[in-house]
Amino acid sequence: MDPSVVATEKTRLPRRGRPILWAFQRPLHLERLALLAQRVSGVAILVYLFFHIFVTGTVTEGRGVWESTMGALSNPLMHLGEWLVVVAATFHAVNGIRVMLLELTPLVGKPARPDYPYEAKSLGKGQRSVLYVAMLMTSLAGLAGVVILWGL
Amino acid sequence: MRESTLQRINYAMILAIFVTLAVHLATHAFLGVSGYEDSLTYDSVVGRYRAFSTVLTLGVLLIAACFHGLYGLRNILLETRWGARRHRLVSTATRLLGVAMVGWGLRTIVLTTWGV
Amino acid sequence: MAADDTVLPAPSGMDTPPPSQSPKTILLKVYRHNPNANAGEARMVTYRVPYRRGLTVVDALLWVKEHVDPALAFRYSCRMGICGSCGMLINGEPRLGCETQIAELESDVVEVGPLTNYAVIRDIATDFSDFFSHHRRVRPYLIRTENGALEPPARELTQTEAEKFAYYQFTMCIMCGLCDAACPIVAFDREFLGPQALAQAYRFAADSRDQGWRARRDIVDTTHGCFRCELAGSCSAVCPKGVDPALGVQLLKRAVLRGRAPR
Repeated sequence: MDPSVVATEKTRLPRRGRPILWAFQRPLHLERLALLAQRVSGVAILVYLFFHIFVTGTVTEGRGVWESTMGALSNPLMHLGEWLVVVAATFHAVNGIRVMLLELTPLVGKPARPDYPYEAKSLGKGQRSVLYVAMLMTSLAGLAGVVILWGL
Repeated sequence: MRESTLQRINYAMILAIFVTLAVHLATHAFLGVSGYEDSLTYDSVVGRYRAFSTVLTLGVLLIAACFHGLYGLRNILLETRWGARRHRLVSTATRLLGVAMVGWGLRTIVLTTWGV
Repeated sequence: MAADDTVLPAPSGMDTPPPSQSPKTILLKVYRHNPNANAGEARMVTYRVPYRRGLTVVDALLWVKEHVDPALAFRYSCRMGICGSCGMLINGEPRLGCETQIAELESDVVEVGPLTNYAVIRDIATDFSDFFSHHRRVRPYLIRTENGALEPPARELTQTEAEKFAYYQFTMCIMCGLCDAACPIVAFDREFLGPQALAQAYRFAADSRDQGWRARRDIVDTTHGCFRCELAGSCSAVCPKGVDPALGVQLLKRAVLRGRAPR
């Protein structure tokens, strides 16, 4: 055995598209994490919307059914779920504004001669600021949600 | 339908959601009724449905949110190997789910405003 | 990582530690996998490689190939960041092996693996067939229709400096494949054209000499075209030549939505 070979260990074959691998693949910059949060929040809101449409539909069954449905849903776990939806919706909305601004406006930058050290315009300070605003507003929405749902 | 056409519709739906969702959340949180819990009583809910502005807001929000949500779900599913091979199935299934959700929501609005 | 993690640190000799503090050897952990032998088993083999100031990852791999195991498979060519051959995963990040100095990694253990999102042929060498076929699909050449298809232009095609800079940065692409390796959409969607092909589609769409906007629009305005990009921005974060493919893709989307060539 060559003395330059220090160790050999088995490893997994790289499989394309493994969800956990995808989520935390380097480079792990804020914009990539924002995409992950945008997708997770989007799916969460969609699932909530699905149930929300059916729950609110019980109002057509009369007072009794509505009140018993509301009674069943008035528990700490459901309130936590609603709070999470508010937080998710706030991030999804403000980050969504950032995405739309990058897709449709000059915020994304203008082509120019690339000079070293090659700072990517599409990852510039403008869009990063909007992302920070999204994070701030999500925190504020979380606080507001706590106040409104639990009256703290 | 071209992908750019779907995207244009999506942008319109996004703008509609911004306006109507803000009104919807504000109604429950701040305006007109005292407190979140009070906004969920039977009389409060049915009373709000009598107003045309509520009907319009909820109707637009329902259609826009269902389109936007299911368009996003369709895009995520089409990325998977399973979804890409069954492109028509994914698009049709999400469309049908959207129609079902909008249909049920509109039923609620119509029955509550004019029926019950 | 540096404070501004969209900028790669300058790979100059100035950043290497002074000789008295340099490690004499470094540990190079390399992904080894030969589908035709060892029952297709994948291993991480750690080699002790002598360190010298200015050692790059490609240099280290070449030392292993020359002194330990000639069967180590990896691509390299120019060793100066212009051919695009040596794209690989270095400490988990897609980078060019020839432009990555061991010293700038600030670690005595360097992990080298094949690029993500590509099938592995052997060890670090990956299959670029999908990458090249996506590139070909966007018709990456000037399309002129005045004299009919395949006819060369009858006169010199002139262009102002401003018209050139509208697309110039996208011509810097060396097709190293790092952007497709970093893209989270490419990770799942094999049919997605990818940031490289889409940026090249924009390069030609924005070129005032090109007359093929409609043909290209029909290629990118599809289910797995430019609208599948969701702005992770990882492509631009890893691009070693400042192409900024994410910018190209967003400008392409804008052009498609406007319905006219981006000029």
